[in-house]
Amino acid sequence: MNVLLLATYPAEPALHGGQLRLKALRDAYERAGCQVQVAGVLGGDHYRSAAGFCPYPGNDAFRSLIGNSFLMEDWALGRLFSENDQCYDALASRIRGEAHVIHVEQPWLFAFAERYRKQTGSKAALIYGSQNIEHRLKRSILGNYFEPNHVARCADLIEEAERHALARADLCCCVSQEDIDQSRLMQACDFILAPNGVESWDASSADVEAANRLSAHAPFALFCASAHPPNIKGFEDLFAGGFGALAPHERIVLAGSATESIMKSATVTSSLSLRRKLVPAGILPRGTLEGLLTTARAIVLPITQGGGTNLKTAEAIWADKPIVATRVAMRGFEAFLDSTGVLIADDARGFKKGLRHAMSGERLPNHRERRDSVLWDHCLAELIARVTVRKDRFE
Amino acid sequence: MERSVFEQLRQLADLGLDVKPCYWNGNAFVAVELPSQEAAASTPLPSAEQATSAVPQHAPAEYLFQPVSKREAAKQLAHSLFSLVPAGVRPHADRILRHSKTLAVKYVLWRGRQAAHGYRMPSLPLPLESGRPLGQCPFQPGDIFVSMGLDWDAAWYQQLHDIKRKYGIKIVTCCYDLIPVLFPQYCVGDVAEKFTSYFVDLAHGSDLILCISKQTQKDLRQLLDDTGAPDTDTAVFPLGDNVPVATEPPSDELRRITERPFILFVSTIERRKNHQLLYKAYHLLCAQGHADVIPNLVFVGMGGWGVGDLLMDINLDPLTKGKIFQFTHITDSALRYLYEQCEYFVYPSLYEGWGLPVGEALSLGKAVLASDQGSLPEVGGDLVTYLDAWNPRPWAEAILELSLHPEKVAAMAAGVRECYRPRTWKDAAVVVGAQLAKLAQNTTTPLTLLPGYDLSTEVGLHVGPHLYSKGEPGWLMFGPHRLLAAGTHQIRVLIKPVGTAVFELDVVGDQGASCFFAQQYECSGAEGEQLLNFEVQLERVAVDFEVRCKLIKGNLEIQRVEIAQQATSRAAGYAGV
Repeated sequence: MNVLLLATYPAEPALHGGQLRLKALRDAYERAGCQVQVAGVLGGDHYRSAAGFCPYPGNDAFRSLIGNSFLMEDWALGRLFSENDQCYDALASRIRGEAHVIHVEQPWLFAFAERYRKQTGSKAALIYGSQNIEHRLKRSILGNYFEPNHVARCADLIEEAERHALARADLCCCVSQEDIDQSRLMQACDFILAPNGVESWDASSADVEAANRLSAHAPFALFCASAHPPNIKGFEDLFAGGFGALAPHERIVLAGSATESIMKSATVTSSLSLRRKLVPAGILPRGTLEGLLTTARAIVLPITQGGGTNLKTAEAIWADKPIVATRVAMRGFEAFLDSTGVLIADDARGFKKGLRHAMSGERLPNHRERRDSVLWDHCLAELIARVTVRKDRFE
Repeated sequence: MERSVFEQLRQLADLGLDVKPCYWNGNAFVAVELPSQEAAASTPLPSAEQATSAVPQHAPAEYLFQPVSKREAAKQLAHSLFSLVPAGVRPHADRILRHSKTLAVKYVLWRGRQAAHGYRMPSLPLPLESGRPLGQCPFQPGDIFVSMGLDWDAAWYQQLHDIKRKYGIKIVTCCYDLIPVLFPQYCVGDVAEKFTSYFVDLAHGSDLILCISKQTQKDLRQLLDDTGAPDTDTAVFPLGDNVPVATEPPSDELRRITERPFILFVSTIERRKNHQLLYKAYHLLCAQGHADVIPNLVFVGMGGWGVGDLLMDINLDPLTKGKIFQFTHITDSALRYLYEQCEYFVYPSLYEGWGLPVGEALSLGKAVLASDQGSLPEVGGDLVTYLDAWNPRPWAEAILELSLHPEKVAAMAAGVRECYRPRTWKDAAVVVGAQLAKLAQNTTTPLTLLPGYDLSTEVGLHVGPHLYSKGEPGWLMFGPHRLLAAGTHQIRVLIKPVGTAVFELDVVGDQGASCFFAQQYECSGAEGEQLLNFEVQLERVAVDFEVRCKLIKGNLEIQRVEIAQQATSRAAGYAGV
């Protein structure tokens, strides 16, 4: 069975949540015996070129579609590569062989997939891989930057793309039951749950030593996040107002591309008591990150915005460390709310207090025996089984 | 305040505590050797500047001119130069100087922010480098270190947490108020973040924080709660009323000023103290034609930051001319005279952590009009008349009313004389002493060491709180190199062998020269986690105390070391200056 996975970012190197999910899907399909091609259009200049991917066309290409394309690039890409013949051909020519299943992650390239299926006469099943209620997410992100009218216009465009994908897909997989319920209200479709997960790890001594060099053997809480705006906003919201939760020798290690934005945020620059606690590690090799996950005293998930589910939550659960999280961060992982190691707080005071308790060692998790449920194999099993049930027809 | 409390504490024989002063010499805390209890009262405690400066060649009493601090010298020089400026030009010179000072402060703050905005890998707080071998430091396990001083600029307060862990002492600090955090607009520079950081450090490093009022206690607890800082114990103690003593007669100038009735406000002239409100009240009263009826208004206090325009207004306002007077640098005798001669006392401060001058006035039997902000209602309770700190009209009305009805002033004063009980520094010491005694009696909590953070290794790997061996024999664990009290200690070590592990545990001091316990173990991983228990008896305080593990064969994970004292040790109190 041939599976075409379409996305606006390559599967490797997998640096952000979308890429991690895409890679996990690719690997899961391959383990199920499928031939998988990952293709699409690079969603920004920051992605390295990858086989099967058209380069990012640049913001000028979007002018005819939308006046201000800032934070709407993904939507604009989708329209461009489905409506512009030259762009369509550029992507279509990169697709190898006959696809039996076209799995589109996020709604952006769904219209392209439809056109491709029609123009090639393909009978491939179309799967819409929803990662979020995109129009709601976009509304909250754009609301941080633009005036309400522009925000509303953009959110409407996104919602239109989502509804279209839901209406035309043969199957829609969502990352949480809540997203399924919300999507069902938008459009009837055949839904299946495929939560976000994590790959297991076993940090080597070298990874632990690399982590220790960053932490200097101090007890630390770990916050690992990409530069996705809700990650930064959440940190700003929940660490604002002065910081006293950590003892003088304790630290917070910031890992991931969110580091630089967080260090420059007003919350950090205006608080000496917070600033002196931060270790800005930035983007790290996976091994070092695993070392940090292994040696962390606690993991914080200060997410206050956004839908979908958070891969870092899955990672924190599997790490078997005390977690301080908001309810938003735990969305999709409600089964772990009863763990003794999960402290929930949705405001700055509660979050800081929770962090102090987590660092004290008083709240150790008791969910180790069920943590495998957050591994990708487990999370995607139902989807893969459903998609490949008739695999023998194609062999 | 710290001297007064210290001296009173030493005299409280029933405390059962041996109270000694110490100071920070830039590198370490050093005990001050006092010749005798009687001489201690006249022996000056070293100031921070004296302590950190080089040893003087001559005693201060031998100098022709008594040295002052550099800051004071600069101020006196500026004062003298300004005095040489012709009188007609002085207002303009003053404006220029104040503006220049504001610009200079802003520049310094801007430079500080430029440095702060660049981020870099912060280093862990350096271990306390005493510059002296452990055996010679003045602290012994079980001691209580007390800092009553204004220590936020001191180099050591950030180390309190480390000092506690290293020496096994208890720490008591003092919080006067949270004005820099709650009202940074009344302070020089952007101080809110510095003081938030300071109070957080105090909370982490202290076993008890003494507060000078219930308001301060409330403010501090709120800040600690908001920032997620620990819920450190706090206690309120009363400040003594610093009633000035008269030793000489008043000057002619003072007598002249006090020939007419006047009301008194004693405080540094700064925005928070709200002299502006009284000026406005007087302006209103004079504009209404009451200048001859109302008493004069006397300010006693130096001009502080941000009040240049107010003082200029007072100087130039034709309506209030001859009604408002300012005294700076007056003696205790002069101050006492003013208290005694005033009709009543006023204190319209926008916020206080206590309000010492209100207590002084009440101690001298004076009626008081005050604002109700901050802790002020705690000073005089119902004996004070409270007015709105943000509205000059009620003050104008009250001043006029009391001017027209002096019998009301008399009645208020009589009430004060009958009911106000002056607070003494002995009262303060009794409350502080009781808190220290309670702290001394509290059972010492077991010392818990997490090997991954607190202990060292030569052949192992720190993995979070645990120490893992790597299959290599040698010193898997050693440390923490601290003091441990004399007495019997129960030690428990939680381990998890991997396969069969053979290792030796020992307990040593004096860099390994003294051995208090040693035993070899052979443990099997089949039994999972195991808790090894043993006891050590220390005849005296152990210096450079260590719990060590030497791995001989196999692999081992060490998860925790607990040390619980079975017998109490002596408690000495150290008052830091």
